[in-house]
Amino acid sequence: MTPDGKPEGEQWNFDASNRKKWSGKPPAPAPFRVEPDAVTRDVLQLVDDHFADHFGSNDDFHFAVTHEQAQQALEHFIDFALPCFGDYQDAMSDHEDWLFHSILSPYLNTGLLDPVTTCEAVVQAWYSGRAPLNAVEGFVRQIIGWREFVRGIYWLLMPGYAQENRLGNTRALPWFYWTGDTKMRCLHKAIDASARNAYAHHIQRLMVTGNFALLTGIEPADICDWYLAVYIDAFDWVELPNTLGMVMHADGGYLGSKPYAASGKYIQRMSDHCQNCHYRVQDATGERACPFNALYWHFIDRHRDDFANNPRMTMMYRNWDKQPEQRRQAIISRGEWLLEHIEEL
Amino acid sequence: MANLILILGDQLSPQLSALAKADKHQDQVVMAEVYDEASYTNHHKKKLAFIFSAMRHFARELEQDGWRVHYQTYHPDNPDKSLEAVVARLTNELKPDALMTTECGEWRLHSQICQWHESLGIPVEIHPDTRFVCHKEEFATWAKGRKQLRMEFFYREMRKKPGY
Repeated sequence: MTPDGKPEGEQWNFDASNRKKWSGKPPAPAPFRVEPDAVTRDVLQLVDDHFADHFGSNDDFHFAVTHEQAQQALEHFIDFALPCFGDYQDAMSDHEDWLFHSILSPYLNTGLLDPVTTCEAVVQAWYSGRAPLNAVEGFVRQIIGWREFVRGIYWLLMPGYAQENRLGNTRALPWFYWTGDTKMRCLHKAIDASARNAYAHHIQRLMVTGNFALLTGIEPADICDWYLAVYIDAFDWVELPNTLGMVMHADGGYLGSKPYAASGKYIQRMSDHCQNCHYRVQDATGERACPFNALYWHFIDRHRDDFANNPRMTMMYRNWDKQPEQRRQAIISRGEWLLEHIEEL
Repeated sequence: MANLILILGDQLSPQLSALAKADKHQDQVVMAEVYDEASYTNHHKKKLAFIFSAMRHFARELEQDGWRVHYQTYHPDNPDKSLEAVVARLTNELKPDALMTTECGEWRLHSQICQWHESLGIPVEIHPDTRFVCHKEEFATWAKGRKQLRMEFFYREMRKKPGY
């Protein structure tokens, strides 16, 4: 903030600059690593012995486990990733797990880092000319904005919040969320990364594993349980509103004024997954058509009543209604087929 | 003996509110790796390993800083499967005046801890978690009467607070 109470850069929100696709340049920095010490090695052994049937792998565990190491992780982020953090916040890569993300959420959520001092360090990077304002604001907004807001919502609305299911979903979580065994490249990659790292970055969680669950009408409790289990930074207060609210729009819109639903076009725009996928992202119907496409319109169509009064959805319905009847029927049929065969996709 | 200080796996901060009110020379910190917390969902192996390791390192740091720490490592044969069981056993042994803890981040566990005073027979002080910019009550006040809660407006209020 400036001394007279205005935001630096005269804007509160630099989000519009944070939407670039990543084509490999600049190269993503190597993630911060700590080699497990004797304590961590003992614990890894304990988990492998007594929690062998739990999700994921302990291979290549390299997270910080002390305040000092977490502080180094923060400095590593500021030095190597922060400058590009803003630009590529929503980018996804078929071969790069971490991109320019901070990977500090496990430390913030367990107390190994303090949110305010973390933001202060990042803001300092802007004042000293080491990072652009859109990156710094984008980061601060996640911690001082979303993280605090999500917590506020949780404690304001629990316990009832956990039972919300305003879109009336009844479908069980597809088994491939636990195995990664799906021909949809983006989903396979996001789930595989989650299994190896106990981490996926924001846009994977929202627009890949999340978007798919939203479009296919998964039972909120099921998908929420998956997110709570799978991610190293997941604790109920932060995971539940993010998943039930922002991802599943099951709470009527506390976390987002419209559902974060998108077709394959979005994933193609933000990533390089589609060129390696079994499905064809340019098709909505046909055997090899990207499932996200027909599922997107099926979602829009079946929830017309739920979104009739949402001004941010009007354009979507106008587009849909303009399509010829035959085309709409073909897309809905494809959507029905996909939902019936969801486990085989 | 004075107080038992319960510290959970996501409260690993030397500035934790429960520690701020505690007396290093009199009080006993308790931390435990228990079956119930490890099993309430299919936690990723790395999440379990991370939390347990971070807890063990923090316990060591506290001890080096002069605190007395009772740390229970996980064992499948341990009869104390819940945090409540661990705390009950220690309460029996040490006869503390009270249990102090910082409000936890899960409604499930929080609502349990709120009832512990009944079975433990000692007061349970639940301190606010000062690791957040906005207190629960502050948020409730901000939210009151608003037809729509939008992060963008909340965020600007938080940014305007001194120092942000």
